Amino acid sequence: MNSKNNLRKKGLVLFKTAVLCLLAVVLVRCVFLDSVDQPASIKAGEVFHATLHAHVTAAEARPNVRFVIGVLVPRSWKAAQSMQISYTAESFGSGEFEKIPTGVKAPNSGNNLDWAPALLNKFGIGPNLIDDMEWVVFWTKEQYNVQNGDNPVIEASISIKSGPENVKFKFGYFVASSEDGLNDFLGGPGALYKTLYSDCFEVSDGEGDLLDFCNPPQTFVDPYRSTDNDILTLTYDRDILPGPLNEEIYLCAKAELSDGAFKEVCEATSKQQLTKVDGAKGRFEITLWPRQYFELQAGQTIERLSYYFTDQTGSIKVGYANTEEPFVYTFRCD
Amino acid sequence: MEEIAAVESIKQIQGSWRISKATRNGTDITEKFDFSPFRITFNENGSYKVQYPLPFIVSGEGEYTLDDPNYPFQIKFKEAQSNKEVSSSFDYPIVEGSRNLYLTFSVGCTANTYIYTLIKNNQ
Repeated sequence: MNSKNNLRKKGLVLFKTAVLCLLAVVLVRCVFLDSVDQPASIKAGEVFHATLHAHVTAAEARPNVRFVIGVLVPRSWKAAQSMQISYTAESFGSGEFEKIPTGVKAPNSGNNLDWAPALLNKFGIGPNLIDDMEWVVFWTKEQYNVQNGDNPVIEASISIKSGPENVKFKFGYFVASSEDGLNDFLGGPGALYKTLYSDCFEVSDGEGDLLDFCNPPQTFVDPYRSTDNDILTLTYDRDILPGPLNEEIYLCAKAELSDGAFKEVCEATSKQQLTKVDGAKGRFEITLWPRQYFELQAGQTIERLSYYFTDQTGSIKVGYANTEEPFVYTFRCD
Repeated sequence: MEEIAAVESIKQIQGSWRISKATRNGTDITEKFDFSPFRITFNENGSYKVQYPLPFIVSGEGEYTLDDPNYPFQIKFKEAQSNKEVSSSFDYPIVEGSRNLYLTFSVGCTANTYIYTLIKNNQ
């Protein structure tokens, strides 16, 4: 697909950020993510190319600074293995980015976290709906001595080999400096780093059914990959396929254990009741710890859940696509 | 001076703690799940006790150590029952006048990261 999806930031946002920088009590180094040019779709297995435009306004000299770029992609892409970023910055030079080594903490993450988990903790999966994404974070191999008044303009060329699956998702882009990291104090929140999310991007001609991170399905489980010892959130959207359930909705679930036994919890008490999601019309959810919910003994593990949503009496039972087939969720980490 | 600082940092985590905030992969799940019965107590003699089972880095009772008593970045637990040793990144800033304890760990798939913010039980 050759059509370019130009993600121009609104001038107003830039203006507000610039004002924030000027108002800062202390001298800062504001970072701007101006735009990203990327295609709207590619075929599975092809190499994805994007061009990121950013600039920095330095109001304080800092030695040994690296420019940082993070990209939010599905975990199945294994982007850390294939991502390559090169850049040019007039009067500063050009070069390559490299993955930030494990153990390097993101400054001001508030939690002593490495860069990738720090971004996940702060920005989550952005506007995407399915929690099976990761931030992959690179920095310039070269360190720079930035002088007061420097205004480097950076053009970075990003390439990533796409994964094998048919998928729709929204890319996330992040820029910052190695010195300031996620600092929200100097210059105000977000002055020293920026994020930008793409429109829905599609990978086609690949394996399996389309996995859509952009649009809500009738039901989904967060995290997308988990074990029975994770805390799961099951979401049901009553409006995707309008059905017979009113606002009082209960989970009726059966756990298939690894020893072949089954455990079922199919009642209509507060423990099984879904709660309405604020600000999302028609969406209900329940969060549970499977080991506790199904009262597992030590040594027992769950392989699969099959579940329905019911009314209080249990007489109305909604399954896959409003049929009597249950929804199925298989526990796996890979 | 170092000895005094070491004593201070260990003293600061002694006592009973409860969960004030929980995130999963950056999503706040504090209000979605009942974390309120959970307690962990750190004792002066280096032992800990977890009350009420929840997805957490350890369970039951055991020992804890800080990687650096002056400037700890990591806390290590050793479960008494299983002898299992696990570590969590560790931070204990003062937020709005109260000491907070941040613990970061995985309990299911390693790609799923939980961060619990603990505050003293009497706060």
